[in-house]
Amino acid sequence: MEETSTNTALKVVGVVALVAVFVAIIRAINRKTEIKTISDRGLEALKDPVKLKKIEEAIENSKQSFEKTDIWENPSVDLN
Amino acid sequence: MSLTIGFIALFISVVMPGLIFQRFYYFGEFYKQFTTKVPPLRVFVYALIPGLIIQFSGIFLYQNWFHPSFKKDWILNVFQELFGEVQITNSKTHDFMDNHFGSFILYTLVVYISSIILGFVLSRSIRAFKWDIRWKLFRFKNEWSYIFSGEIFYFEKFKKSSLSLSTPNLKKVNVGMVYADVLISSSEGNQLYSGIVIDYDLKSDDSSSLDKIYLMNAKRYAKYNQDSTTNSIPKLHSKKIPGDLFVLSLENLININLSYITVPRLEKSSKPINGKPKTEFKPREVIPFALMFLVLSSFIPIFFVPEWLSFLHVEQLNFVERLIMLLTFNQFLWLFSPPVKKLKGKELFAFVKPKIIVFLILAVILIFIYLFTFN
Repeated sequence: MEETSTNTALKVVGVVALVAVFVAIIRAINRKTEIKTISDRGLEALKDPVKLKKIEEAIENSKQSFEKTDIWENPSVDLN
Repeated sequence: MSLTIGFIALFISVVMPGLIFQRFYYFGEFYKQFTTKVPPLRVFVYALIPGLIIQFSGIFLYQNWFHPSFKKDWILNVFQELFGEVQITNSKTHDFMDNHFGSFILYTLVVYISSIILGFVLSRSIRAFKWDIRWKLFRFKNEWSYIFSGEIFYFEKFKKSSLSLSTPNLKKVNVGMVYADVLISSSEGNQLYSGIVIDYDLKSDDSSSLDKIYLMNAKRYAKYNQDSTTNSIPKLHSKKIPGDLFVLSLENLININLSYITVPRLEKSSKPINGKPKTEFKPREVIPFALMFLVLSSFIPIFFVPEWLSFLHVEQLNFVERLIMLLTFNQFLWLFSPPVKKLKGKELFAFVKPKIIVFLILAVILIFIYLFTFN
């Protein structure tokens, strides 16, 4: 097949697309395997004053419950 | 002089592949154990072992795959003559400089790229298959990352004690964040701080010790007497620290108490609703894989037609025609994508119908292309 400028341009587009896909795959793998100090949902919640208040309340409730029952229960918050 | 050049040779051939391997092996939080403050000698020694393994594997593969008559002592002779103080007399050295220097550069590049791939694949595999959780051998040295993320509760030791300790039941919940109470000794007495842990730094000389901790929503505790006239036990009073982020130096850390704030796991339901499976569409996750499938499957036949595709006469089609052919093929494969297995009867037809329509449209276009091209 005769090499045309369109074909050359499309080859370049193909290579760029391949590189983009490769980068996207690497980022996806990193995202799935990385370890986080704070989860993404947790980090999102810290920006929201309502959710932040819920977190503070959950911590306080756990502390108060521990003082009463002597059993530590992890604070649990529904961030959905 | 010979020592310096010899060192450069060692650096290029062994230390560099090792350093590159380390850079891609330790990723994210695990890379914290390699700060800029780490002594260069330690970095050098740590790079030697992976560097030697990669370099010897490279030579072994080169000898077996590309150059069976290649002898390992040639390298030593060439290095000795090039970087020593003796004159170049060996014909192999002359031959190397005249004819094979470019191949050496290419080989070195391949070794460096292999180090990147090896480091990346090895560490991600360890994490993906949770080998670091199961076996201590594969565990990363930065143990604080396991502690703060809550993954420490997956370790065998902690799993067994989960009934006696109030560890989060990680089958039903995820650790969303960690709340820390940090006791620090100071000239004014012990100070207690608390807050949500956002990040941390490790000490440069001891990667198992914390150097700093970054807290959000931080509080400071102070003791106060309710009644100053009596000898009552002082109570702790907390006061919020104004600001966005509180960076606490842990140089005089006495102890740290962590509370894991758990969040319910997101439910993954595939139960069909109105004939369509209830799935959360996440373009960020789906699009790269769809593109990968499309591009990888179409890249080879579009640009380089393999022989086994000769019966399709792809070489006579132009780029757009080839793309349509591959889209048709991809669409055919999508008909058998996993959700189909979970659906039956009308629900199945409602789900597959749009895919069949797209496939038929593409197939008709393809038939026309073939009719016009070969008539």
